[in-house]
Amino acid sequence: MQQVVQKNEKITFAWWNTSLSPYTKEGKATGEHKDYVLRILVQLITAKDVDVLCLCEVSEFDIAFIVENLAGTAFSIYDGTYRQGKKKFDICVIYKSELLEILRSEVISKIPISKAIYAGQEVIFNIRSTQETLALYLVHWSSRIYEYEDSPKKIILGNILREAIMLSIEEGGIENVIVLGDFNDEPFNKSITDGLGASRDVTLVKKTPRLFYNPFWRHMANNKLHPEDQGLEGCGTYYYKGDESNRWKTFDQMIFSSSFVRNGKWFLNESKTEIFYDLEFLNYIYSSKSKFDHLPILSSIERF
Amino acid sequence: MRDFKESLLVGINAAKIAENNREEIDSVLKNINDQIYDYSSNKATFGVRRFSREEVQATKNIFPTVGDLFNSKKYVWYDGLAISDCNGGNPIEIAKWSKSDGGYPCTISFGGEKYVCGKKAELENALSTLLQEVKTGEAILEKIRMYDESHLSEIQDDKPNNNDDSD
Repeated sequence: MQQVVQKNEKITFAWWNTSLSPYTKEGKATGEHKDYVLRILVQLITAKDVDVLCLCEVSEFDIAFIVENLAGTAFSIYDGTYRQGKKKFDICVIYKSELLEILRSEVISKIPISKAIYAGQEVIFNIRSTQETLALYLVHWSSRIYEYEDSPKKIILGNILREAIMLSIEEGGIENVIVLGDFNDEPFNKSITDGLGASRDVTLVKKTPRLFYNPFWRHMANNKLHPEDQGLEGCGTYYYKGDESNRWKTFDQMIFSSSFVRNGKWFLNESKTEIFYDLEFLNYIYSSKSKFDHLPILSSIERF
Repeated sequence: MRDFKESLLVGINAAKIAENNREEIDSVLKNINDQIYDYSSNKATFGVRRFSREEVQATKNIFPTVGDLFNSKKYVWYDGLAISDCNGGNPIEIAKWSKSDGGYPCTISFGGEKYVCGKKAELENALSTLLQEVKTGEAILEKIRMYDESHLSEIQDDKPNNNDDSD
């Protein structure tokens, strides 16, 4: 008798800092760089079956370029790029419109003294198949050139996000929350552990619903053990050749609300949480001629 | 027997802090209300009001049933900050408002931004930014204009008709 295997419903997310339009070099990417971005996007969509692609370091011109090349596909784009004084938002979300629809979006900010500081963008989706709400918090915090590691401002940014998210969960009834981005901080930095409240301890998160789970603790080192390692794989998501002791850092992360590991209808399939390694692309990153310095990251949520 | 006294005291203390926070938040909002009421010569008020918005839901079925069509509109209730008539009626929403059980954090959303407020100073800063918005100024002016128009028509209604042959 043929066994019927029920396929889980799934949504796969990717995050990538494309280096198309860094803070001071908006719209200056070469044709080769743009083409390579498209190539990676296509690989993520086809080989990794990505449904939601969140990008940063993109300008409105880069988005127009991507839209032009994705025309006729099942994807729509949320344009999160705009300027607010000196602050520049450089984010977009490419998503399968048959799976999700955008309900609303906002920038998360706070005015501690007189000027607003910005912690990220909140984009609220409706999952069409189940009519559930999914909140994405997209983060691209300042480079360590402007905000040093464990600076008080970074901890405040983490805390602003936490306050906004907890209100969405506890007052707004939104259970499914994913925080993803280029934090310019690693999973162990205080902005993420103390400020945001993201833990590596899945058992503790299951017992403590107000904590978030950060699966990217597992991605801070090369997962191939010596001597099996090839010497080419990275051991993080961001490559900074100027660092004397650790050139790879795990600045790009996806962090999940506790419902994804506790009792939610959607659960995190951690086996699908990965850094996108492609040998050719890695060589691009190692090359001094290339502007690329971040690898894409992926993760999936599933529902029985 | 297990001693729950310590846990009990923690809960009571948290409740007291939450009550103080809520009173503090209410006093900040009341202060703004008083100033708007005063500025508008008692013609406009400010405060938290309940609003609803329509959220269009996509139907799950390829061939929607009658029930699906009825269910495709969903109304969501939310709190907003509003400029209202002198008696608190006919509110004009100027921001969305959300408050946790403990009072703080609370959030104020307007102009595409959600301001997170963890203490009184942050709340005052966010509200000050809200008051500087064109939309807020327009709402206050609208309430003043509506008040003046309604009272002008009342005065005209009360005036004796010149065509009356009262003598």
